[in-house]
Amino acid sequence: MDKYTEDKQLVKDFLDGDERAFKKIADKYSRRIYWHAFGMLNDHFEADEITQTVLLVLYKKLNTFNFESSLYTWIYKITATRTLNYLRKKKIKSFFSIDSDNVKEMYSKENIILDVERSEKLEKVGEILNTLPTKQREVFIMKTFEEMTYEEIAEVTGKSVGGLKANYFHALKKITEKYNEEE
Amino acid sequence: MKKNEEEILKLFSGLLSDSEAEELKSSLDNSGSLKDFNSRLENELAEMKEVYKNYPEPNYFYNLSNSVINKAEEKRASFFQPSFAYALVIAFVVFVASQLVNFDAVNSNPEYAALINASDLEDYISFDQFADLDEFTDALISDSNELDYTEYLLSGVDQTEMFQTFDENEILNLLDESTEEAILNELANKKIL
Repeated sequence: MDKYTEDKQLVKDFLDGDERAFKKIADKYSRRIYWHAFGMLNDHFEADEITQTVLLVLYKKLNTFNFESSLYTWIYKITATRTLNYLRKKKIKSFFSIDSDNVKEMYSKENIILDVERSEKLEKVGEILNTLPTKQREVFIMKTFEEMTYEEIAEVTGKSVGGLKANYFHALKKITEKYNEEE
Repeated sequence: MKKNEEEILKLFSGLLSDSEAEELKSSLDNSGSLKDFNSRLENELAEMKEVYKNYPEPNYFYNLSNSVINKAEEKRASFFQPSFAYALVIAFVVFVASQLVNFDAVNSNPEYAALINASDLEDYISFDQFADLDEFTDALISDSNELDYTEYLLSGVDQTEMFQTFDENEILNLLDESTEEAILNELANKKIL
């Protein structure tokens, strides 16, 4: 059974009342949702919140999914939109809040990786990603970590392939320069 | 950043055409530093991907999906909580009560109907009703308990005296009769009294 047919069957089973089917969908996609959100926000608690919200949306809205795109693209679209909205709200909040930097400092040290070395690496990647503008960061995460094609990213973000390539190029350039600075 | 390095970034980004990409790839073998840059970039990206991809903490995601399912089920169950049942009962009682009130009794009364159908207050309260002044006066007298000036109306006291205070009387006493009468006439003409 291919990925598309498998997802279709899981959605059908869930809509027929099988809760285990939703559990399978959640287990299958929650990691991707989480890591996309974490890459964008660089904060475990916020990524956790986004993941839970997206899964709850799926639970409520799966009956509206019409299989015009793949389930993965649909989920990713919800995730990307929710994450961007969260980032916008966060920017507005931080504009009005004096203590936001302290709060950010406290939370950003948390992640779900228990191994210290890996945790440090994750922190370093997070710092580098944080230097990128939102659009470049989004494309970079989808292309590098999720290994999505430009066409898939275009479907999720609604942007042109040419624009996405340019964004990815600029993201790569900044990351390389950052690495060069550190050496 | 060198121009050749930028070309490699373009290659990674898919910004080069097929022929440009082929040309660049063949030139990598001739330039040691460019080859180094290419492999370093590949390694950096692979390392970043490694950090994100191979996460050995499956319990977190297992618990996360369970917690979401519990939350979703709680929300669905909360629809049938006691407060919802109370609201339903209250709505039912209000509906039954509204059915029991006989609105036709009000509508069938011609006096109320006239009031309800009047386009404005003047349509209902017609001055013709008080055309007969005697009738009006009788009505006024019959309600005299609430009107403390009716006894003055009936007593035959001059209306001007009703509004004079002690001080005013004193002043009026100082005036001669013709002046006083002139003032009162003037006030009467101006319809102050």
